[in-house]
Amino acid sequence: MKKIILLTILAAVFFTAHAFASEFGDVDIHGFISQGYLQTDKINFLAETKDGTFQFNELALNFATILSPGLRVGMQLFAYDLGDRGNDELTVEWCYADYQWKEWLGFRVGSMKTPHGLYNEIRDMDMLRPTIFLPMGVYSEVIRDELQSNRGMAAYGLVSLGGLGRLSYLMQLGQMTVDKDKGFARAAELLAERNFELQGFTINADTKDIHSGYTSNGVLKWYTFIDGLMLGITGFNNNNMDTTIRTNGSLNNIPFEYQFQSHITEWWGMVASGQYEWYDLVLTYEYFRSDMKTTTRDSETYVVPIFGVDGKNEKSPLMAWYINLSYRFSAFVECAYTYTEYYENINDRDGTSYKESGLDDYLAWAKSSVFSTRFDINDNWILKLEYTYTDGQLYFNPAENDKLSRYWSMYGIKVTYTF
Amino acid sequence: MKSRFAFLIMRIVVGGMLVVFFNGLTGSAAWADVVIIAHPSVDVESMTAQELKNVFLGNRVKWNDHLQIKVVVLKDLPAHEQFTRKIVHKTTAQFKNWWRQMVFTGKGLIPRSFNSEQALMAYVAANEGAVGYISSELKPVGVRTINVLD
Repeated sequence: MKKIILLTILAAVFFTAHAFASEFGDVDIHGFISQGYLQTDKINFLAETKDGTFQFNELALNFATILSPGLRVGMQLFAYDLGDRGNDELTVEWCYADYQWKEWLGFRVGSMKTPHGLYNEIRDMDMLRPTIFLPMGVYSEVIRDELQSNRGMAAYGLVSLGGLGRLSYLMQLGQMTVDKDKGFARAAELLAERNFELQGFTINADTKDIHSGYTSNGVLKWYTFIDGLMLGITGFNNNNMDTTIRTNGSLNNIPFEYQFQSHITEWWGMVASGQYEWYDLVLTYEYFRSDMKTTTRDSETYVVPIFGVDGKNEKSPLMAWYINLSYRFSAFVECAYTYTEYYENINDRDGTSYKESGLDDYLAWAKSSVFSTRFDINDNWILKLEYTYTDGQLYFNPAENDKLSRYWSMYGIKVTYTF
Repeated sequence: MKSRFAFLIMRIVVGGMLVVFFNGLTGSAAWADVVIIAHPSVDVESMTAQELKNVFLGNRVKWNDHLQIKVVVLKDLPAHEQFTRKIVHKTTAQFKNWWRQMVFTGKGLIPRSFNSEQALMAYVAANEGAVGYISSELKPVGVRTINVLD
C-alpha cells in the first residue's frame, strides 16, 4: 500500500511537473516513464516470462538548478520493476553537487551514478539507445542495484591533447550502495538456495547483514583525432564486502539452521570500450573482465558455492564482450544488431567443470544475438521492439524454471515517455 | 548475354543505393551557413570549432571563469541540423540524446530550445551568458557574433 501511495504521488508530481515545468523558475524538472512487455519461449527469464509479463517498467523524476557560475545541484528519484527485482520501490538514484572550476577540473560530492562501461550510468534511460536491454554479460542484472550509484566524491575534467584529440577523465571514491533486500544480497540468497537444492536440501536463505567497503571508480575517454572515434576504459575496485546469510531448512524432517559469511577480499572489474560514430551509423565494442576473490567462512559443515566459488578462497574470472551496430534510417526509425558472449570462467569456456559435476555445460556461457528497432513517434514518445536469441544459460536468472533449455528466445516491447 | 544483363542490373541497383546512401550522409547543399551569437556580456570575439563544441555539449560551463554559459538551441529547423552536423559533429538525434544523457545523470541542464530563430535571438540578447546560433540569412540584432576559427 505504501508503495502504491508513493508511486501515485510520484506520478502526480510527474505529470504536474510536465504541465507546469516553465513555472518552476530556475529549477529544471525532467522525467521519464517506461512500460515494457516480455515474452520468452522455453524458459522464464528474469520474471514469469513464458506466460508474458508486464512486470517491466521504470520511472524517474529529476530536479536540477544552477546556484552560481559553475555550481550545480540536482537529484533524481527513480523506481523500477523487473520480475521480483526493484518492485517499484522509490529510491534516490543520484543527488549531488557539481562544481566546475576549470574545464579540466571539476568536483562532485554526494550520491553519483556509477561509471561502468559506456552505458551503466544511463542503463535505466531507454530513450538514449536503440536496444531494450543492454548486453547482460557486461551490464549485469545481478548487481544492477549496486552499480546504480556510489556515495562519495569525484574529480573530473576534459583535457585537450592538441592534434591528438581530447581526454576526459573521472575519478570517484566512495561506497557502493548495498541493501540486504536488493541485488547482490538477493542473488546470494537465491544461489545459496539453488546450490543447497543440488545437494538435496531445501532451504530458505535470508541475508542478515551486508556491508560494503570502499569503492573506487575511474574513467578515461579519449576522443581521438579521428572524428567520431572514441576509445575508453572504465574500472572499479571494491574491497571488503561482507554478506552474512542465515539459512534454515530440514534434513530427514529434522530442522536445522545454518549461517555463513561471504567475505569478498577483492573485487575488480574493467571495461574497455570503443565507439565510432559515422553520421547515422554507430559501431560499439566493449570488452569486460572481472575478478572476485571470495572467502566463505564457516564452510566446514557444508560447501557453499556462491557466484561460482566453491567455499574456499577462490577467484571467479568473468569475461564478456559485445559488438553493436546501429543505424538511424530517419528521424522516425533506428535499427540495431548486437552480438554478445559471456563466460563465467574465462579459463573454462566450454563448461568442462560443469560437465564433470554432472551438470549441463551450457550453464557456463551465454551467447546472444539481439535485433532491435526503435521508433521515435515524436519528441516525447518512443516505441521499441526487440528479439533475442540465446545459446546458454549463464545470465543470472532469478525466475523459477522446472527445466532449462540451451537455446531460447525472448521478445520485448517497450514504450517510453520522456520530458 | 543473360549474365551480362544481370550484371548491368546489379550495377544499377548498387549504384543507386550508393547514391541514395551518400546523399543521405552529405545532406542538402541548399543549407545556409549558421552564425554563432552571444549576449553582449560575453567577452569573446572568436573561438575554435573545438572550443565551441565543448560549450554546446556542456563540457565547459563558464565564460572566462565568471559568467555561467547558457546554451540555447533551435528546435527542428534546417539551421539546427546544419549546426549539429558542422559544429558538434553529431546528428540531431545524437545531439538530443547527448543532452538527455547529461540531464538524467545530473551532469548538465538541458539547453532551452526555440521554434524560431527570432525568438532564440531575442532570448540571447536579453540573457547574460547566453549563446546560440542563427542562420546567416538573418541579421544579428542586439547580440554579438563569435567568429569560428578553423
